[in-house]
Parts: sequence; C-alpha cells; structure tokens
Amino acid sequence: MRTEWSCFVLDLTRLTISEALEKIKNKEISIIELVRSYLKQIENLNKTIGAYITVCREDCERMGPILQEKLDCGENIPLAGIPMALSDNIITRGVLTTCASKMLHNFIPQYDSTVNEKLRHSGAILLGKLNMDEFSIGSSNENSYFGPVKNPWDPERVPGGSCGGAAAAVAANMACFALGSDACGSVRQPSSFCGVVGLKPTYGLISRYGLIAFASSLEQIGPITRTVEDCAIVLNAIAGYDPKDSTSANIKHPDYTAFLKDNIKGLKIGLPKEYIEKGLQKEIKQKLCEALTVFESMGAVVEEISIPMTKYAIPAYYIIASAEASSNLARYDGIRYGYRAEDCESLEELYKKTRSEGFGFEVKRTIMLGAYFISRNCYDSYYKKALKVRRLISEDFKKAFNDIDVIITPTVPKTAFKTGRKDDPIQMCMSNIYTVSANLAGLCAISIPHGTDCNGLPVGLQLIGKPFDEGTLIRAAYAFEKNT
Amino acid sequence: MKNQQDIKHIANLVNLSFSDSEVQKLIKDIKKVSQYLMDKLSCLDTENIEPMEHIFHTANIFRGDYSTDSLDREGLLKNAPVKENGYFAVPRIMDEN
Repeated sequence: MRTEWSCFVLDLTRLTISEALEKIKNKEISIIELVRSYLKQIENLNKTIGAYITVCREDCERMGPILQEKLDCGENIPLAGIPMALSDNIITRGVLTTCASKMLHNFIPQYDSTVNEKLRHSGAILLGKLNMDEFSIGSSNENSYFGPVKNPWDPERVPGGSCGGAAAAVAANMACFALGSDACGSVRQPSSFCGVVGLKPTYGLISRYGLIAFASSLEQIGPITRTVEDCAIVLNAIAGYDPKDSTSANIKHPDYTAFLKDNIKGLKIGLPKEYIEKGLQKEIKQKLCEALTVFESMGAVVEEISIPMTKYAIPAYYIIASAEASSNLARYDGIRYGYRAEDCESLEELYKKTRSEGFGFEVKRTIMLGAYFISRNCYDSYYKKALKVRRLISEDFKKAFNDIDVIITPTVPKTAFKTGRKDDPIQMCMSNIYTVSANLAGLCAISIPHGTDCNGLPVGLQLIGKPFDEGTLIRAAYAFEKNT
Repeated sequence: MKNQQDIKHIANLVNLSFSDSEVQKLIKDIKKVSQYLMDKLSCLDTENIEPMEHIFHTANIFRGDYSTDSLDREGLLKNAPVKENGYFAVPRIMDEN
C-alpha cells in the first residue's frame, strides 16, 4: 500500500491468519486486542474507503472474550479470534444484510448462510458486512446504494467489483480475510485491482445456501486473503457438501493446507494464446512473461494452448447472467421483507412501485435485458445461443486440461481504472474478459498479486484449474508466492 | 426492443415502471447491448450443439419426506413491512362486492 495510508496501519492488522493464530496460541496477543486493532483500523479508514456497510462492534466486543476463554480452556477452535468480514450479499443471522440495495436496506435475516455458520463454528469473528455493487451487478463497486468503494492504493480509482468492499477491506488491513461471491470475476478482478489473493472455487464446492442469488448457475462464494496460505486455511473452513444447497457437490475435499509446498517440478502449465492478444496492458503482459520465467525456473513446463471460444465468453455470460438475474430478482415484492412503497391501492401497484423505487437503475436495466433475452422472440437467438456457446467454452477447457495441469493468464487486461466509467455495461464487463470463462465452465481459478505497474497499481496473475482441483492451484500459487 | 411500446411491455412483465427519460435511456442502452451481442454471436455456428444450462447434469433434488424444524413465524414476520394478526398484509385484492 502507498505511504499515505501507512500512518493509520496498526501492527496487529498486518498479521496474516496463520501469524495471528500463532501469536494468539502463544499468548503474545489476545483475541480482543486483535479485534480492537481491526475495529480501530475500520474507524480510521472506512470514511475514505467505504468498504463497510455495517460494522458489528458490539458483537465483536462480546465474542472476543468468550472465544479467548474457550481457547484458554484448551478447546480446539481452528480460526479462534480471526477477524473477518462478509460481502453484504451473504446472509448473516441478526445482522443487517442489504446486498448494497435500497430494496434490502432494513433486512435483518432470521437465519444464517452456511458459510457464516461454518466460520462461526470455526471461531472467526464477524467484523461486519462489506459494500459491493448492488445485487452483484457491476465491476467497479460504483453501483451501491450506500456509495462507492475507493481503491486503497489510489482513491481516485475503483477497487473493482462486484466485491470491491471485500478486496479493499483486506488490502487496507480492515479485515484479516473476507468472503465475496464470483459470477464472472467478482472476487478475482477486485483482488487483482487491490493486490490481494482471491479464489473462485469450483462450482459446487462451497454451499450457496444464504448467498443472495444473482446468477445462480455461475456464482460461487470465494475467499479474499493476503496470502495463498491464508486462502487454503479459509477454504478448509468453508468447503464441503451442504444438503441445504441442491447444487452443492457431494464429495470429500482434501486438506488444502497440505498443498502448501514449494515444489512444482513437472507441473504442466498452459498459456492460452487468445489471452495475450490486443487490449492487454503492456506492463501486465510483461509481468506475465516474468511469471512464466519464474515457473519455468521452478521446474514447471509451460506450453502454448488455444481456447478458441474465448471471444464469445463475455457475450454468452452477459445473456445468461441477465436472464438468471431477472428471474432471481423477481422475488422482491415489498411484502415479506425489505423496502415497501407507500400509498399503493392495488397489489400490482405495490409490486411495481416497490420494485421501481427499491432497485437502482443498473439493476432494473439488467432485469429488463434478462427478461428480453428469454422473451418468446429472443429465446433462441439470445438465450439458447448463449447456452450453446457455454457448452463450446466448457469443451475447449476440457480438451485443454487433457494435456496440462493449470492454465495461466493475466487476471485483468488493465490495472484499476479511474472512477466514473460505470455507464457502459459492456465496456464495464470487459475487465472480466479473462475471468468469466472459469464461471461458464465451472472451473476453479485464483488471482494472486504480482507486483505493480508504472502507476504503482497492483497487477494480478490468474491460475485456472480443473474442477475440484483447488489443491493444484494452491500448490502452484504458493510456490510462485514463495519465489517472487 | 426498439420502441417505447416494447419497453413498456417488458417492464409490465417484470413489474417495473419507468419515467419517460428512463424509457429513452433504456431504448438506447438495450439497442446497443443487444446489437453488440448479436454481432458477436451470430457468426458462430452452433447448429447441433446441446445447450448447457448448468455445470452438473442433475435433475430435481428432493429432500426426504419427513418433517424438520423450520423458521419460526414470529421471527419471519419481523421483517415484514406491514403485518396483521400474524400474517403478511397486502392491499385489498378482491372487490368489496
């Protein structure tokens, strides 16, 4: 991070999860000290960065001593006292969950998402709920009812989106780790823009129960952390089958920390030629070349591959995501929870007025587009066509993974852009051009930081893996992190 | 979606209403986006390709036929903007006659 923020940074908030756990275990620090350091950091920076919508100060103060006592009594609590935060589209029992929308500005859920339940049982402490693009629609975190999030590296630039608050919070030491959701790069793109590690797990690895739905067939909850080791630790805590999510995969997952090995000799890495064509920032291309040299020096074998359908990924995504969003957002009616328009005489008027006043313009535009794509006259030419393209993209990757273990690409074509460009939806989507295919094909993918460009802005490197092969991604990412 | 009528028709289907200036903006935006998507996708031959709705080839998944605890009525009603006698309240939907 740049020096203008460093005066606010307290030492304890710089600790990684594994370092903090070690210090708590050795009684060098107490849980409450750690938590208060984060609360102080949030107090100092949130006005400028806008990463948090809700801060759970009282719950933190209450939970700290309870966890400390349990730990002191010898209980085994894997993430005891680790302060974390969740994107505000992840349901938290008793804690305001807004999805960054006026529609849910007052929604206090009566149940918990599976990920929050798992983290609570692991001993993590919820610092608060993070800003994002309203209902996950956006790539710059400028579409929030609660105001935009700023990039901690340069407040004139966006942090990325839709989970900009999550990436900014971790980058600015306002959370030890965070969870976001990724439908086309919403975890990886902001992680790249903010210089942190972001993982989109394989579709089905993490329960989506309690994730407020945007594009159900594409999105997965994923961790945002400062190191690859922390990513493996969080993944261990949240992965696994959940009968409450019918799309959750009933498989046994490995211990991801077992893959934290500085050895990738013989690993076959594919570089898709379509990902290094025009439009890629020169310095990002240069960084990618440097990364290839690092991987080769560690004994990996790099070969050029082809993913011919790459150029169709954004159009296919746009149609599928809008169609799914228009369906998912039909549930907001002003009757059971959330915003309700006043002075309505009929049910129809209540629906229309509530939805028109409760959603922001970008959300309404997406609903309109989605409904248009699945309307009788457009179904075949748009929606069905996009689903066929999805099949072709998926087959491209299947074929590529016959010969290689991991695919390497830049995470984004350009580093964080300046604020104020949110009006062109297609242009905005273009920053997800390298991340979106992993969602369409249900693959796992990780973005890891790799230095900065000439403006001092973080550059990200993406590794894409086979379905449920997060272990190999973690091994490759960890080895790279240790050798750069 | 080319004109005001088309926008109003779709808006009606999704229970949204727009001001005149919003309608003009939507016509412009939707025309631009749909044209871009058509230009990009129409040149790709997808004849005989099976659409892929989902990553997994799963059919409906049902839980076992047994009763379980569910969320309590009082808790759920806490978020209701208007409630009456333990029910969600909506404007009158039937004519008095």
